[in-house]
Amino acid sequence: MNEFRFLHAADLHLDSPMRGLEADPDAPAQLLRGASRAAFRNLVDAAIEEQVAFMVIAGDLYDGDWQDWGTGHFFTEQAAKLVDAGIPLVIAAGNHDAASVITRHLRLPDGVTLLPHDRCGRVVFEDRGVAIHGQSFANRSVSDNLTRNYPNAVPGLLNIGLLHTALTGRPGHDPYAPTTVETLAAKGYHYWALGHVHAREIVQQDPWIVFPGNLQGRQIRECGPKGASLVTVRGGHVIAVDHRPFDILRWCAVEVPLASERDLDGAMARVGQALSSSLEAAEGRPVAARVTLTGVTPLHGELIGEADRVRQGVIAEGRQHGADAVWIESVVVATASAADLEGLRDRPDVIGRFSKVLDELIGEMGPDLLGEYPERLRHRLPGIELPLKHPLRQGGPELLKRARELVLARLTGEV
Amino acid sequence: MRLTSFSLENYAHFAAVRLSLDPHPGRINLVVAPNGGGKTVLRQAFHDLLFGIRGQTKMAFQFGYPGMRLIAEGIDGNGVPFAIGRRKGIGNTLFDGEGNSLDPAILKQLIGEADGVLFERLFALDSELLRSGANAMLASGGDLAEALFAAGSGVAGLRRLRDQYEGSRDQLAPGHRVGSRPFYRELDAFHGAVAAVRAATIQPRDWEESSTKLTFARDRRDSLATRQARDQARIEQLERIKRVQPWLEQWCAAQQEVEHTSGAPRLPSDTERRWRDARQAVEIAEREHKAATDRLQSILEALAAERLDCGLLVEGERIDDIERARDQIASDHRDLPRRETEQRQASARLAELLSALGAGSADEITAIPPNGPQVATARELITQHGALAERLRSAEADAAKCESEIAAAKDALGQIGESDDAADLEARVEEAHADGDPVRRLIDLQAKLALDQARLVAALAKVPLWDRGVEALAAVVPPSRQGMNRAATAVEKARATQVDVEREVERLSSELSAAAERLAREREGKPVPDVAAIEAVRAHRDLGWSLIRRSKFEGKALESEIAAYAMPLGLATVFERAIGAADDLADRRDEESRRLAAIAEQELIIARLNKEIGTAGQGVVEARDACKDAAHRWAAVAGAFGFAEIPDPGDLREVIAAREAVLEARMQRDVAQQAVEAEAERQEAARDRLARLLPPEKCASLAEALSTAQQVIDRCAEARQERDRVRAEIETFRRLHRQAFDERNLAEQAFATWQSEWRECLSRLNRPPTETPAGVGKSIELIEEAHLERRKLADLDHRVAGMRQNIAEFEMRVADLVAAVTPDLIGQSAEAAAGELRKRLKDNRETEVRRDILLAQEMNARAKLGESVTEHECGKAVLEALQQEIGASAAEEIASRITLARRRSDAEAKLIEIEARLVEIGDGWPIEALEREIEGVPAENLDTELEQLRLDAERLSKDREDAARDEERLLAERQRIEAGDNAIDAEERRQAAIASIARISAEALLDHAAGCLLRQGIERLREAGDSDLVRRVGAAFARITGGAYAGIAADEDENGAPFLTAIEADRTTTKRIEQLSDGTRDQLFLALRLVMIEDYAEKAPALPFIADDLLQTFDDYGRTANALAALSDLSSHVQVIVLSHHRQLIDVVRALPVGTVNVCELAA
Repeated sequence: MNEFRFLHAADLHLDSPMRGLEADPDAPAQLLRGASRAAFRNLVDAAIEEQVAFMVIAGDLYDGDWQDWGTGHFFTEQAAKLVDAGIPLVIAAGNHDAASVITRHLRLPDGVTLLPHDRCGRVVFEDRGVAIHGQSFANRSVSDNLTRNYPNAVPGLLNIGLLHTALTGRPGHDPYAPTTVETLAAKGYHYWALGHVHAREIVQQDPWIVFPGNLQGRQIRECGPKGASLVTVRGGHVIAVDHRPFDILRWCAVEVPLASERDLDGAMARVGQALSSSLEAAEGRPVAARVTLTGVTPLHGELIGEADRVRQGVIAEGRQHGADAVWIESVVVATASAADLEGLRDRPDVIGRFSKVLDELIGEMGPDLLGEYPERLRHRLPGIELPLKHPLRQGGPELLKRARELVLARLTGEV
Repeated sequence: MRLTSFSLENYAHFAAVRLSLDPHPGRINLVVAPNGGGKTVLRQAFHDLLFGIRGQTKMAFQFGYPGMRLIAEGIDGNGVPFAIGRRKGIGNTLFDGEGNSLDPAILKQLIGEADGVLFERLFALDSELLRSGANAMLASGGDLAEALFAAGSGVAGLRRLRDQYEGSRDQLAPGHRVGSRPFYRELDAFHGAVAAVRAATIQPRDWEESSTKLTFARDRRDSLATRQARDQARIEQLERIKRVQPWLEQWCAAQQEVEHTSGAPRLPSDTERRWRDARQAVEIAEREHKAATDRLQSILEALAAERLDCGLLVEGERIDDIERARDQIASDHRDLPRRETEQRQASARLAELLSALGAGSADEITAIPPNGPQVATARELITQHGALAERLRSAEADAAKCESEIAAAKDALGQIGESDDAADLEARVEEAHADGDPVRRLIDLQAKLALDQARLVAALAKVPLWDRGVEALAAVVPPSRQGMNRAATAVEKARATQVDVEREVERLSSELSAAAERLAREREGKPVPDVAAIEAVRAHRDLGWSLIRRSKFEGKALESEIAAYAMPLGLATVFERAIGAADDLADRRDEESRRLAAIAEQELIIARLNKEIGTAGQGVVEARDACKDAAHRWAAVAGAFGFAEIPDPGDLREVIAAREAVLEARMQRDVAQQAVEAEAERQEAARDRLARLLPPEKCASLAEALSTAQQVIDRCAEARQERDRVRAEIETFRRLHRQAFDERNLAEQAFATWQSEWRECLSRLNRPPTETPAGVGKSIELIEEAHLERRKLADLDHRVAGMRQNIAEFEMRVADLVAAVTPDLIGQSAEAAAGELRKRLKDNRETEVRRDILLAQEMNARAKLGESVTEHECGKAVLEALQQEIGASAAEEIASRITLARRRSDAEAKLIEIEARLVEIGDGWPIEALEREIEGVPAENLDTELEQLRLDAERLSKDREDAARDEERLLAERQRIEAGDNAIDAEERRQAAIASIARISAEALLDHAAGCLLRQGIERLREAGDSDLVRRVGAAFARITGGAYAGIAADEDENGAPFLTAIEADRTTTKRIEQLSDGTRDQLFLALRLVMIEDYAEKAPALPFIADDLLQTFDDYGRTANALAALSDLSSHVQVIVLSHHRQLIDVVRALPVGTVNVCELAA
């Protein structure tokens, strides 16, 4: 029985930096800046070790605005290694590749096929009975449904469609090359190898429509195991699609519910437990974590009032697992006060009166309370893209609400 | 809620305690407990009752958690009784009067919204919190809003909190750039990383260019290497020919010599040496045979001369034994007389000792050994006897001395007599000194008065422009501070605006000049190369590259085109220069573009600056008009002082401030004056009281009266002290006398015991009963000496007997030997005969040794003679065999044949050597091939060609090294690009900086928002402050200070912010917070707190007010009573519980109306 396997990867974003990690003299810089390369090396080594028949990459080899030729050189080096092992590589360029100066100048080794951008191309591996159809992005923003150019399945072969798309839309991703599951299914292909969406997703199994996710998480929005899909074909049919992790650094969103802890030491102990669990789940990989403290706790005021101390405490908990095991991306205090800060305004003492005054001020003045300071900071940050939930992007209401909590917690003895 | 009782069970150190409290309005509950007796415990217990007992409470230290109970009974706001209890546990720990679980909602009805923090901050107050609140009030300058907030919330320093947030914000990210702050540090890191990314990025274009250069360098190096290898091969060939040629000639000559000697015999090469050796061996054998014969004859003659005495040799061992004993016998002969003398002396001394001890024989002494128990006991008793005698003597002497001392002290006591009683006088003096030294006090007060008067004069002198005296200054009604501030601010603002606008015009003009200068500089440029020139040089460069590519990589023959393009410098050089020229022109073009852009930018800047200068000039005119208007308004405000010239706002502020200082100084002077007068009056009354107890003539003044009184008091005190001292001495001597008497009795008892033991000891030593301890000591010494002498005598007897026996045995052994082997010596002394025997034995033994040596020599000589005969016969046989091998018998013929054989052998060896050398220097080629190679090369061109080739090789080697260096450099560059991750590293740093900036700015914004809320909130509180509240606080303050202050008022500072002032009893003078004493500020803060509690109680169910040792800072008796009265007023609104460890508070309470205070005493 004719059985073989192939690897389906996407969104390599080679040399794309880790985002959100602050400078840390103890962090192994080589590991951080080489993470995307190391993941790609893992992918190539696995392909050779597993003796796959071929490999397909559904777009975004590079970051669009990244121009360093060393990245392209690294890619060709690894691609050549793959080809030398007798494994052909088929690539459909994605939106980032179309914008990349590297792509335009890169001379790919023989055995690597970059599908055309002006029509749907086809690569046939007759010895395996496989036809791969696909079209690259011509420019950064493709709003057409590219599948219109894709031919129907070639009879008697295993047909694979290679496409960089967001389908009908995925949160956090631009809706490039839109199409629908029905359109894809109608082509009669056995496997749609998609790219662009960084979260792994098996959209459908008949036919198989698969996003493998990106190869290496680079920010907190890209949590969990990252890698590629290993597809097993037997008798001209896809019989299994397995996810293989190739990442070397795992991003984790660590939620730590707090309740009865009476002091910061207790809270930090909970943080330490949660980080241990995350490290365990990462199977020996180092972890970059965003620690979010939640729950109704008497420590709420102290947590928001002693932000730096809390952050240092969390970092120290991470350090207990080794010098290069855990990096803290950020510490988010999303707890609620155990005291009834909202009900304070009804209390007959001066703090109740002051609470009412603060509510009136926020209601009447709103963000004007903050004066010119936010604008001054904002003007100093051209070219810096802040996180969506940053107070300079969110505006005043949320910030004032948090400041009110901070002040009242201090006045009512929570700090 | 109001409590009627409060019980603690198994709580802290209380097993069970119950306080009965009075819930009635207008009544204070005073709980008096000693320090450490539980005040703090009670306060914590009340907290725990209402809000729960903490999981790890310190109050379980004595009884643990089981059985811990807090129970309170009382009435609610409607007068309905309740009972609540609290136990230690988890979940709902409340219970009711029957011990059943109590719904927490019931407690909530009693205490309303209050929580533990509110209780501690509003309803509990101790002296520490009171002082802390007062200090915060001082720190805020008496800010009204802050003071009310602090008193009502227990949170001191709203402004300080605001400053903390703003300070924290500025530490992180101040609004203005401060490079050292984290935000700006990270911002700099971000920009640095951006630049680093840009600098480290390798563009694909650069990569391709690098690849082309590398390929070119590699090809050039390969080509040079090929040429170099070819030339090297030709050089090696020519050098080989030069090496081989002379050796080939030698090879030919050697071949001819071999052919010429082919008829000579072939003999081994060592034939000549063997022939010579054989002849020498025969001659040597003949010489050795004759020498062996002579030697044998000589030995036989010597052997015949030696003779031996065998009898003497047989007795050799016995003679040796006698010789060894001869030294010992000589020593015995020498020592025997001395030992016999010592023996006689020892015997005489022993007899003498026995006689001294009265012993009949030595055996009697032997029964008493020196180390035996009898002697040891005697020695111990002798020692004890001395100590006992000294003890008895000392005790008797001490007793006598004490009796004498007692008698002397009694005499001294009689002489001192009894003293007068000065108690009344002491009371009067103490009364006069109650407030310190009265004289010093009066001097101090007078000095203070003088100082205050001087300060008043100085303060008046500091009033600018004023020359009309103190009272006239006090009579002036100054303008309101608010109005003056407004007018002054208007003037200052208008002037500042004018200065700002004028500076702006100046700044813009300066910028305009600078821009004009820059424009002029940019316009002084160089000519720009035109596009055609650039195109031409680029075409030249491209043609060069085309020629290189086609000729090097495509293999086309383009010699004529290359010559036309590159002569005479060569293609590579011309192409490099073409690249340089093209780049140079392009750079100049770029530079000009930048210059034109800069000119356009400067022109735009100048236009903008001209426009801005026009606008600013208009502003200057407007600002000057505004300045004049403000000056007019200021003149109207400043007229109240009647100065001839209108002062500036700053001067007028100084005048007003100086006037306030004058008024303050005047008040201080008046107070000091009153104090001096009051003190003088008090001192006169004190002098009168002393004069009644002392001689009136010694009481002219209070100081004299006090001095006289003190002298009297001192005298009485001295006499009393002396009497007490002597009585104490008598008691001491009596005690010592009793001790000495007891000691003497004890010593006598011990002496009786000793005497009994002494008698028994004498009996065991066989000594007379009357012998003294000293005599016995002497006898013991004689006994010891007798024992020594007896042992010495026995030793000498033994030695003398041994010597005599040794001498007799020696003489007998010598006589026996002489009789056996040397009868000729009979008659000589034993020692002489022994010496002769030893000499004869020695001579015989030497003869025996010589004889043995000669016999061995005889045997060797006979063996040697045999060997020489054999050697001679063998030599002759070898000589004959060699003659046969050479083929001749005559010596001359034999030499000739050996010479011919050697010549043939030498010729053949030389031929072999030449052939081996040719193989070595001819690179292993066969001789025939070498001959053919030489034939192909004319010898006359050899050196010329070789020299030319070497020069070429040197040049090629240099070119090749250059090419290799180029390649190496380009390769290193390529490897750097391939391996380098500088751009990635910089990008990571950029991302890290963004992350830090995001965090820091978020934290700074939160601090900023908190600071803004507090700033605005404080303003709102100020605006909401009502006069009724101020009036009520003032009334409470007046109540606590007993009318020393009439109340408080709210004034406004320069910014219009209200602040507290205290109104003095005259209702006109006010004092700022910083002018009040610490105690008065405490009282003001207490007044604020009491009013805030009243306010709370009006709006919601209130908790009892716990005053924990609150009044201990109220150093004045009257003010303490006043504070209690104020607390009594508060108790109309909430229950008041005062905890104190001062029992004197009970005395203060007695001054209050009956029923005001319910006193509970808590035992320690």
